[in-house]
Amino acid sequence: MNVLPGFFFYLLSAIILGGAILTITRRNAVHSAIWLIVTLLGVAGIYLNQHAEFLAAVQVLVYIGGIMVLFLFVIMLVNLDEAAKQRQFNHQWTIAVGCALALMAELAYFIVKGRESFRFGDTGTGTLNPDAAVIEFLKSCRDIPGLGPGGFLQPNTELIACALYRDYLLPFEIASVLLLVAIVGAVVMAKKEI
Amino acid sequence: MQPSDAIAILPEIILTAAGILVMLLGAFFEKSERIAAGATYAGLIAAIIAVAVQFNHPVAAFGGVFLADSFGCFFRLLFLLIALLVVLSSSTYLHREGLSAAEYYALLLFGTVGMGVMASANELILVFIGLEISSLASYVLVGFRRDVPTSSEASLKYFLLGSFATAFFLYGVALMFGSTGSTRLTQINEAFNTALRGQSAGTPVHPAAANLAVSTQFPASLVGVAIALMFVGLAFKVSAAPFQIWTPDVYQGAPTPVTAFLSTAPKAAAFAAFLRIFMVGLGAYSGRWSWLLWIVAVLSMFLGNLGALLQANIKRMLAYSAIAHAGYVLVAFTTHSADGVAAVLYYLVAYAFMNIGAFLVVTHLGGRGERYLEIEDYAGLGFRFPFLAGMFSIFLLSLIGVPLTAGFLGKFYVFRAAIHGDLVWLTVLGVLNSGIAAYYYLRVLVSMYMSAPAREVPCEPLRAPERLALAISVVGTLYLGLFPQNVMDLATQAAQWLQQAR
Repeated sequence: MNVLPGFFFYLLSAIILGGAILTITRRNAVHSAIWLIVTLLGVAGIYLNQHAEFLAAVQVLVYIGGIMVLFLFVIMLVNLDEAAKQRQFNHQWTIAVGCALALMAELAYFIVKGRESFRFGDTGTGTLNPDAAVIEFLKSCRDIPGLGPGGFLQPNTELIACALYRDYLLPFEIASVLLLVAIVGAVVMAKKEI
Repeated sequence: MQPSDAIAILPEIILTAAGILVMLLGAFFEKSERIAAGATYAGLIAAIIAVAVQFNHPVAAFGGVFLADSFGCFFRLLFLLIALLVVLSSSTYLHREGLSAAEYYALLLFGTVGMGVMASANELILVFIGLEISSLASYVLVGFRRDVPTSSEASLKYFLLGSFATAFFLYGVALMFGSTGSTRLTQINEAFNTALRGQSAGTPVHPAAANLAVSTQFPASLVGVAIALMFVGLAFKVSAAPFQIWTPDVYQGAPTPVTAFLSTAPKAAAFAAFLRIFMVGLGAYSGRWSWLLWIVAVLSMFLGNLGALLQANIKRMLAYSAIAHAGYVLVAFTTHSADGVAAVLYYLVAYAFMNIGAFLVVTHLGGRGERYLEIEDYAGLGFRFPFLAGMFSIFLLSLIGVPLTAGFLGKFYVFRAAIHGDLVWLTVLGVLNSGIAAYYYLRVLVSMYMSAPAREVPCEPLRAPERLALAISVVGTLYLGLFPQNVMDLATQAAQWLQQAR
């Protein structure tokens, strides 16, 4: 049983990395956009693999459905033939390599140190390091019916729903006023004649 | 959502509905100016009634996310009053400049919604959304004269720097959540108090299973960074030094009624959020932030007043004076006592009346296209338009802090709270600054009454809405200077409420 999730993880990772490499190396911008979709789908698969069903659905709807359509619109609007002729790599690639190496070193540090790296100096136990009583409590959750097989993992979608529609109902609703103001503002500033 | 929740946010619901209605009226009617203004007045007055009813019936709505308490209601009433005065003083200006009234009023109403949410929020995420609503509305209002380059420039500057500041605030919120496990201000306070009690007893507190959400051990460095980041974001919004760079340019470039609005309402809203977050949420850590406030208060007063000495443009001068006034308010805030909070509230009300009044006169004298804004243009005003000059003198004297005006009692309460809080040096520096400030206000007065006009400045007669706004401002300024008791009682009540919440 433990082999299968691991297998899917590596498979999805390969899809994500392959898609990412193809996204930046294709000359045709539309092809790049399509490979980006493959990458984002792979990320959605990883979420699903981690029992985050809601996040996976949102990833597909928002990123692949919404944002990629915007990307494609922009690609259609700019002059593609001109872009295809330009060189794909400029002389700043050395800086990029430096940044990538620094990031890699940082990630390697976190992987090697593990949980230790999140500890902050002047406290005995960090917040991310619960003591025995908490772990006991979390373990007891496993017996409650309706929880996922992971035991530690609670039903993801229900938790998000509780947070959005119960605890944070007002911020969630009032964000619509924020969007309305943003739209009105954009129209006021951009339109030739109101 | 229960009916009581809906009643708690009724003023905001009314304002949002009024804003949408105003936009629709603007779309459907050819000559929409008067109709839009009428709908705006109706919405504002209905909201004022809704808040006034709530004043003595504090409720915690949406499970404690939104607190319609006397502190929140005090501020919401202030925002609505400011919005009403600004709408009254805008209608002639909009007509003269040929700006579209419906969108202007709608954005003003939406901005007021955001500020009301900020003042009553007990939840950092809600504070952030309220802050964004009011900021977005402000950015657009600043750039409302789209064909004037300075207005667009001011809008862009304000937008870029403002987004940066909100990002700081949001990062602070995220780190605060990371270190305490909650974004609810009262819960953060509880968590801090539990942790401090545990430390003083010498025994580590065991996080019981029920206490999972709020862990009792805090990484102290993380809390410090979170406080600093939230401080930067809010200090920018109240235009306190050293985060004041944007203020002169934005206040000068914005349409003058919008400047009057910006210097009073969003600033008061930022102070409301500031007070609630730091007094309620971070009250246990006051030793860590009160010295920050001390420094920022002194810097704001000096940079504001010294900068104002050099200005030739009256809007720019008032912008620098706004920085200095933020400094005086921060002096009262530094005491972090109930006295200090009451002084902050009183000062903000007093400042709203006198500053809107002053900007109203500036709006009117500016003429078409805001051409007459230099201090030279005010030369000889006292002889040509004695009524306007007299009004302007009252507002300027109040801004100086001359007795019998609102400004005097505002400063008096601020410095009294500072003395009671043992902040003697801060008080001395504050009084010294009031002396510096007198110079540049008096320069305008001298120019109005003691010099001959340098060039012909035309001036149309005042229209009815402007007269009304001017009358309210003058009466408010004098009333607060002569009979402070009623407003001070409300401010004290609100301050005590805030103190209890800790």
